[in-house]
Amino acid sequence: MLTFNPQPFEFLPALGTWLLVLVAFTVVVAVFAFIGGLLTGGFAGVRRVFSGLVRGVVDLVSISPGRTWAITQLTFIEARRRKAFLVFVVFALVFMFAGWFLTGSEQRADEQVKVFVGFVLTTLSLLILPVALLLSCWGIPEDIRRRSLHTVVTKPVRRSEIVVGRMIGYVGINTIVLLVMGLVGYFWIVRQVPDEAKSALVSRVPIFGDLRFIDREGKPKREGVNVGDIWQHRSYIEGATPERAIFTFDGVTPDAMTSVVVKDPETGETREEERLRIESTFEAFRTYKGDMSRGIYVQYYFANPDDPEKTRVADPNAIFAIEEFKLNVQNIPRKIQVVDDETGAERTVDLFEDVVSDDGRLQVEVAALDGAQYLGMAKADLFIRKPDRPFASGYFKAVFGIWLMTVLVVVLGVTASTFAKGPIATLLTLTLLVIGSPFRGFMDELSNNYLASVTRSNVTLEGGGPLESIVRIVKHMNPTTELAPGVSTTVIQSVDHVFLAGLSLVRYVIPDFGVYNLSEYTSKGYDVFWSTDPGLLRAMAMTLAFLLPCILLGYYSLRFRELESK
Amino acid sequence: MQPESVIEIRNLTKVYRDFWGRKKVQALNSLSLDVHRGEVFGLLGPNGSGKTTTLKLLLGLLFPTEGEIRILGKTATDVEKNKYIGYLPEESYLYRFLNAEETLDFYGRLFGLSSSERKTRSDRLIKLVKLDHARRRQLKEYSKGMTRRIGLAQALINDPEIIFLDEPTSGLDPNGRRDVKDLILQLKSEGKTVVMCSHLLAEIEDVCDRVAILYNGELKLLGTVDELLQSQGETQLRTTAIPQDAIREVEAVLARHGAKLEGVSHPKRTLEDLFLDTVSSSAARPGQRFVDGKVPPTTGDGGAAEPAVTAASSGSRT
Repeated sequence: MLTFNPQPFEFLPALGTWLLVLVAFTVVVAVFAFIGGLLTGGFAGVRRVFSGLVRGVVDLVSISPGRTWAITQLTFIEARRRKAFLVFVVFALVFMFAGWFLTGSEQRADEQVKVFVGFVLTTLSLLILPVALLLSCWGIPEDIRRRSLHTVVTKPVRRSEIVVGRMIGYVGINTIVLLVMGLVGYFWIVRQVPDEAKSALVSRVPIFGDLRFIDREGKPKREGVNVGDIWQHRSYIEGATPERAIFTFDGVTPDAMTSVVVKDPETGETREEERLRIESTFEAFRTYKGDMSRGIYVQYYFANPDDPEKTRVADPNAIFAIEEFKLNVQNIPRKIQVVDDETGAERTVDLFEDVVSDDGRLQVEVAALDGAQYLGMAKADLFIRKPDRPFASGYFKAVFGIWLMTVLVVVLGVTASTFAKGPIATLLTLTLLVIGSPFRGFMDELSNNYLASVTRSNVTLEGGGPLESIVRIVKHMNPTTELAPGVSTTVIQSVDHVFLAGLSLVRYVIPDFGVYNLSEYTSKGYDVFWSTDPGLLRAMAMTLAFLLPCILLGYYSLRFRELESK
Repeated sequence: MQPESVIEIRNLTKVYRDFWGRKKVQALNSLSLDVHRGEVFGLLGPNGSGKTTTLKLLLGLLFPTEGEIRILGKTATDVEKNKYIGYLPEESYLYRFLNAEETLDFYGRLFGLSSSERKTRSDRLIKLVKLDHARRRQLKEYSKGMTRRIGLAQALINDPEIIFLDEPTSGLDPNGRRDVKDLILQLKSEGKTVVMCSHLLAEIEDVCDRVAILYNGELKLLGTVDELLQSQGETQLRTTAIPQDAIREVEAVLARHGAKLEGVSHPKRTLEDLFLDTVSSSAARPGQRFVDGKVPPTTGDGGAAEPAVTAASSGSRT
């Protein structure tokens, strides 16, 4: 069960936003540079700024691959001779003894796999990040401190070549480290996982659907019933009522069917058959104890989303009692025998010809059958499982995700090191990493609430901004009480307004490290998705989005820096 | 014919400021001078006079507060000019984890030299600076003198037109100093321009064609070494050793011409000359030792075995 709901990621709108932000920041920086030039040197200053910018563009487009590669190779030799690869020793030590503490025969097979995969991927991240951070943040400042850079910049080397060469060098070193550790980690997992759990060592390929609800009056709703338990993640439907959770899937084609072993109930023979495999992890909320020996009963209905009333069918076999905290697997045959409600005649429905829409959409409606018991679910709790891919597919995609994160850390670290000394550059990059990872959600929430309160008249910013919050804390006011109108309230709200508007802009330049959280897919037994958030395309886009601005910033910082300034 | 200027410095001023933009030190004040093609130019001055600042401004490591610099017609911050220059910093700030071959190969690649050319030049330069025996050792294992030598080699890897040398002989033994001075003269004979700064006067005197003397960031003197060192008010005669009578006769001749003999002495060699003679003769005659305060005879010009008298007179030149 995933702890997040993968959202679809649209590349082109994201590219548009990126271009907009890049152009806006470039214009703002250029305006400030020209004003600075005008103030310090008059029109000659403006001319100098202009020629500096033009020369910068020339320097960036005329990067010499030969010189850049020379600096890249220097970076490799430096890392090797300064023993950066000692990280392998730490890695080896961890893996030599990890097996002692992770193997637990009392665990279920899928849990064991989860523990091993989670451990390996977390260890990879924790070992590679310090290497990336320290190498990238200390390289250029050390060169400046030891003045080795002085002999380099007095050769025909463009500062852009130094920045790019260093970036490629550090990325290369991290790639080697990660590749070796990733391969070792893979074989370690395959060896450590006990034979009985080997079947769980796959990359499941799910099709997640969109989730909406129908209430007991049959009206559509975005969310189900709030039972006061984990409200943000799961919504509930009440049993034995018309309430339904409706999952709409896209891309449901016969290819989505999986080969499963079926036992003939009459002859007892087993054979392989193509079935549509639906997996779910529901949670029950009981308002009375009921029969605790079994789970709540659930039934699936299948329908064409374009005309659900006419096409709705229920597989009589798809009524089952859920098992909480475990996967509930239903293999739906292509041909379903249904009884016509009106005529009482039996007929056969072909799932793909009679139910699934022409463009491959299928609606699965979930009903709970036990009265006064509630069934909770989120988007990722029910999915169609396509034929599995090898475990290596998901594993190495997750490693690729870690690699993309280290690339971003290197790019940020090298950029910071062009204008700050080693310790400051490290702190700065680390701060971006911390803000961009655990605090990102909070920052986004603050800024989204603020933007919603500005753009929509019916939304108010509960509790106000930081200054208003401080005032409320000091005055022991709850967030819903209105502040007394007056000059002080206006001042407080204006300051908060400026801060939150600034925050809404600043979040564009703080990378969202949450997009690299691909290892959760793998550790939970899924393949890593391509165009979801989080997903591979999103992670690649995030890294690439910061690459060009960072090269620009790094180049200009180094270009306008007096290396010998006292 | 007016000599061609390869370096033009006009009204160059450098003020170091603190973080808040307040003036900290004025390192250079309206410096203007030209360096001509093919000459060895010396920047002289005591510590803090601005000679290293001038060099760093020329190299683009610092930006001028005011004024203009042109090197081969290009600005100091133009990387294109770097193709034609070589630079030996005051300390050899090279990558200490590289060995001599790797160092020269790395810097050669920055000039876009082909692999074979890099190899050829590296071999030649390593031999030139006498580091053949240590070509595979990492620079962190080098002595200071060896580091200076490899620093000199990297400054020459691109066969530059202009070579900037900051205290080129610092850290070198007398033999090494002599080698560097010979090398500078060889570069001059090849038509290269050398700009060096040092506070070792003898060094500058030996190799420089023209010198500029800086003090407190200002240019105090500029001219050829001969012009600057020649004393127009004195005449110096140098002869082989002569008896006392002859000295009296010379005095009489000088008196007839209205001049006065100011002193008679045996000339002294520089310590550097004595040292070099001693080392070279010791190498030629192993086993010779300094015994009972007797200095073994050396073979240099005007050496201790062949004393001479120098008569100096004031008045008109002879």
